[in-house]
Parts: sequence; structure tokens; C-alpha cells
Amino acid sequence: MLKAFNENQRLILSSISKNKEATATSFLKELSEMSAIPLSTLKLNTKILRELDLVTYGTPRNPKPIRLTQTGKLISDILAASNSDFKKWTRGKRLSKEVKINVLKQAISSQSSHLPSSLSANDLVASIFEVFSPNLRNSENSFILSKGHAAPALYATLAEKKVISKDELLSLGSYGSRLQSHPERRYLPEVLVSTGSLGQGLSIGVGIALGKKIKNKKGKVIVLLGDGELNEGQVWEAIMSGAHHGLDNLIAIVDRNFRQLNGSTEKIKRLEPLEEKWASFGWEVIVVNGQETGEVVSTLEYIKHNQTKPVVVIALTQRNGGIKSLREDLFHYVPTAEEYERAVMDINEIES
Amino acid sequence: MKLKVESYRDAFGQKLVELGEKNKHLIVLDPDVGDSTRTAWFREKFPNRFVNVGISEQDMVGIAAGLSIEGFTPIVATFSMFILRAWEQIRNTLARDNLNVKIVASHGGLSDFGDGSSHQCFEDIALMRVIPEMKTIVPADAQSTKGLFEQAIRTKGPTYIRIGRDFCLKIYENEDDVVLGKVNVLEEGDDLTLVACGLMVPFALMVHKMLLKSGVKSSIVDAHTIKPLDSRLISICRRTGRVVTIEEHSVIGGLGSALCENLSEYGVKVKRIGVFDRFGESSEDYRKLLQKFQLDEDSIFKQVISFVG
Ligand SMILES: Cc1ncc(C[n+]2csc(CCOP(=O)(O)OP(=O)(O)O)c2C)c(N)n1
Ligand SMILES: [Mg+2]
Repeated sequence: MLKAFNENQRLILSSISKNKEATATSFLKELSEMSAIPLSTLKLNTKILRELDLVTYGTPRNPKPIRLTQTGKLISDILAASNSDFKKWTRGKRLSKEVKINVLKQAISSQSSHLPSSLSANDLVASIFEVFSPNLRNSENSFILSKGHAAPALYATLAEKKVISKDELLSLGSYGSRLQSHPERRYLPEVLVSTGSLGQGLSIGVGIALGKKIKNKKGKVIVLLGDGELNEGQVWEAIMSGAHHGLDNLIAIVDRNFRQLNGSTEKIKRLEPLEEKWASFGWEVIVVNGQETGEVVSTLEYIKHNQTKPVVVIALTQRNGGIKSLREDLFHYVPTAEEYERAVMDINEIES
Repeated sequence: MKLKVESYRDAFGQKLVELGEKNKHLIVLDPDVGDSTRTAWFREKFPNRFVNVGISEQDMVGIAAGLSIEGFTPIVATFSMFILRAWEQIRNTLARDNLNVKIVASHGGLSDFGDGSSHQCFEDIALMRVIPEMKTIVPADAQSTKGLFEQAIRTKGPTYIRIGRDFCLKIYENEDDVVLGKVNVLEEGDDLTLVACGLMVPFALMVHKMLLKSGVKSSIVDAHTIKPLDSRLISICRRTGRVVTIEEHSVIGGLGSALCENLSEYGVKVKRIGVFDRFGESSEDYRKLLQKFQLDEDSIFKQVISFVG
């Protein structure tokens, strides 16, 4: 719906609903002055809206006030409702792009980061922070990066949230840095839970979610897991616990890139049918394109307001984070200067 | 010497209920052994602050971590053998993040005599005290179990408390006769020091009497807090110059090892008495096993005498 209209059309629709009986000409003139959008652009878009039967107005010879039709009114209401979603959606996209570039920079400065695993999780972490702002001061929401080796994605997101500086990002994993190779709460409280050993985050998420319930506290608990990580039996203990206690404040997100350390998840220890597995354990399952920040953001927004039991989002991702020029089958990889330049160009292309 | 027989786990279960009344932050997690650990008494009293998490110790430790992040003081209680399944979770989450979770590990040593080697645990003290931040406590009797448990609750951070199943012998009158982190000197003698923990403390007191008859004057020390080890213990041991440690645990890595680590630079001779690198076995009778493992008072006396020559 949001994508069906361009920004000018959305502006016109929302402004008409507040308009008091002005003619099209004077309404558009005023709008053009206020918004600094050329009058001709606004006129063209208004014409399109009339062709879609969303607005009516007169002619220069027979002037009538510009008004929304019944359908126009309906659409304008829907747009108003989803406008806040839309803002998050665009902000999420911008955030995710910045995070991606900073993840690449960290890989180059540390020469050893888990770049592919971080790129895979990049849009997910950015979206989680866009929707929930977890772990930050005064936030009621909690986030656990159970696949702790994607620390660079978390740090780059925290840099966008001004918890750490962009300069500090380059200290990742170096002697004396707060940015440990795997996130650690002792060094950085916004990490909330130290990870690095796979398979343990969801249980901790269950504990936090249960604690919130017992104390009647609001807030969601979001746990990001790798798909290979699901080999660990403890994850399935936690899945049972989450369902058993009816934790409608717990959200698991699986970074489903079909790869683990030494190869394909399906060849090493088959996970499919993964949706059915979670569903049969009593979780609600949603599958999304994990490389589409917009889709992830709106899915999380939806869950935020409509959750009735524990939810797992299976996010289809790639180890190259959708950056075409990078390989998607690697676990350890550090780009050269040229590869970096190329990747940044690709990122700008994806996001535009 | 006749000492009154009491029960470790009953003492723990009673104290837990008592603290539950006062402290609303306490929440108990149980991997389906609450009847055996006596956390069942808490379950009956405070069902809303008790969770049977199922037979899943690793999940339990994770859940405890989460609850402590939310401001609770979680108590996880199970057999000392089975909590070891979650050793890495304890190390990587509870200890690394210094979370306020208390582990009460029952059925330590040979005290679960009936169940045999799968249940009898001589390795836990070694595995817990090696973890940074992890306080490791082995109370000697029922009163000190209560006292040390309450003090552990009042002290922030991860703590491991190892108790036996039932059989224990009363040596303390009051709960506050013991102070977490401080050794208790129960007898003083200049010839040698017997340092013990858990059930071996009352046994050491019996051995003290037997030694006196042979003209050997021993100091008896209850080293209930194995980590952090009281520095006073080191000076006591240095004064007598000869030390015997006694524990219902492997001689590898436990109290004896801890003391050796601290005494090696002072040239103090240390004899370690405990379980010598082997597994346990079933018996219908605790005492028979203690005899077989040379951890009854007569066997301990013989070992001490051969050490002092
Ligand atoms: C308990 C544990 N075992 C092994 C490892 C080593 N390890 C680090 S990442 C990884 C693969 C993870 O795969 P997946 O969960 O799919 O994450 P991805 O990088 O694909 O997002 C392994 C085996 C670990 N960190 N923790
Ligand atoms: Mg994977």
C-alpha cells in the first residue's frame, strides 16, 4: 500500500483531508510553498490521483473545492495509520545500509571478523533495533545475540544508536577494546548477555520473558539465533520451555542462511522441515526475506502488536547479506580494498 | 563421641521456605528432582515462585540467568552430579556475567550411596572452584548449611553450595556460628592441622580425640568456604607445619588441592585424604562405602598416624 503511492501523492492525500474548501489551484500553490516541492510536480500527481478516482476538483472555468472521494478518504486513513510504520521502514533501511558498511569496515580493520555471518544477520539486527530499541537505557525490551559471532553487526548497530562511536568500531577485537570478538556484558552493558558459545541464548531469553511475566512488566524479548546453532539440544529445551509457559513476549529470529561452520546445514544435520518443527513445538512461525529490511521491520511491528504466543521468525538470508559482488559460501572472509569499494557500490544500489 | 544425626537436604529445604517468606525476590528452579532436593517444600508454599523446568539442566541455568537479569535471585537445586551437565552454561553465562544465581547441589560425595557411581559425585568442587567469580561452599552440618545458605543469598554473585543427602552430624549450635569466607577453628593443637569440609568435619573431630590418646595434638579446621579461601587458613597451616586435608571428593582438584596451591611456596607438608581417582559404587549402607573409600574415622586416623610417623 505504501509503495503504491509516491511521497508527493501521499503528501497531497494527507493534506487534502485537512483542507478547508480551497480550490485545487490555491491549495496546490500553498502546499508547494510549504513543502518546497515544485507546483508542476504537485499538479501532475494530483491529476494522477484524480484519474485513480481518489480526488475531485473543478476546472479553471468552473472552480470547485478540491476534495477526497470516498475511496480517497479510505486510502488517506490507511496511509495515516501506516505512516509511523513507514517511517520506521525507511529509517530501518537507512540504518541497515549504514550498519552494513560499518560491518565491512570492522572486518578490514580487525582483519579477522566473522564478516559473512555478520552480513547475514545485518538487516535482522538493524530491524530489531529499529522496532524495539532493546537494551538501551529506559528500554523495556531485551535483545540477546545468541549467535555471538555476529558481534560486528551488533556493534555497528549500537554505533548508529550512539552507544559507541564509529571510530571505536574499528577497535573490534583488538587489545584493550571494549568490543570483544564475541559480545561481553562486562565491557559493554548494552550487550545485556554475553554470548559466543552457541545454543544458550534462547534459554536466557525464556528466563527474561518469564521474569517479565511474573512481575507483570511490559516489553518483548528478542533472541537471534543461527540456523546451525539449532543443532544444539539446549535450543530445543528452550523452545519447549517457551511454549510451555505461553511466553507471548518472546520472539526468536532464526538467521536461515543454510550454512554453518563447515558446510550446508542440510548436509551436516538436516533442519528441514524447520517451520513444521517449530510449529509442532507450539510456536507461531513466520517466514520472511531476511535481506529485505522493510519486510523484517513490518513483520516485527506486526508481532509487537499482535502476539499471542511465542513467535519464531525464520528469516531467509545469505552470508553475503545480499551484496552481489561477495561470495555467499564463506565463513571467514576479509575483503581487499577493491572488494570493499565494489561492495559499497553494491550496497548503495540495493538500498536505492 | 556421640553426635546428633541430622539431614543436610532437610536443613536446606526448611531454610529455603523460611527465606522465601522474607525475600520475595527468591525464585526456585527445579529440573524435576524437587522431592529429592526438598525444594518441594518451597513449591508447596510459594507455587508462583517455583518452576519445574523439566529434566533440562542446561535450559534451567539459562532461565536462571534470565531471571536474575530481571531482578530475581534464582536458586537452582539438583544433584551435584547433574548440575555438571550445565557446567559450561554456568561458566559462560552465570560466572562471566557475574549473575546473582545460587546453585545448591545436593547428594554430594558418597551420600547417594544407593544409586551408585552415576549419581555419586567427587568432581564438582574441582570443576566449580576453577571458574572465576564462582564462590564454592561445602557446609559441615545442618546449622551451617542454613547459615551459609542465607549468607550466600545476601552476597551478590554466582555461588555453588554443595551438600550431602541426609546423613550429617551436628557440630554447630547456631546458624551464625559460621561466616562465609572465614574458616572455623574447632580445636587447637600444635602438632598438625586437619582441614576438612562437609561431613568430614565431624569425622575430623572424632579423629582429633583419637589422636590425643596417641599423644598427637591437632588443630581442626572447618574450611567450609573453599573459594575464596580464607587467608587465615594459610597462616594456621604454616604455624603447625604439617597439614592433612579430608574431603568427600577426589584428591584431585578439591580442598586438598586448593590448599596445596596456596602452601607450596611455604614448604608445608600436606597429606590429602579423599577419593583416589576412582568412581563410586552402590551400597545399601553409607557407612560401608565410607569404610571402603577409607573415609570413616578409623581409616582417617590410620592415614594421619602414618603421615605423622
Ligand atoms: C557451542 C559452540 N560450538 C561451536 C562453536 C564454533 N562455531 C562458531 S560459529 C559456528 C557456525 C555457526 O553456524 P550458524 O549458527 O548457522 O551461524 P551463521 O554464521 O551461519 O549465521 C560454529 C560451529 C561455537 N561458537 N559454540
Ligand atoms: Mg547459518
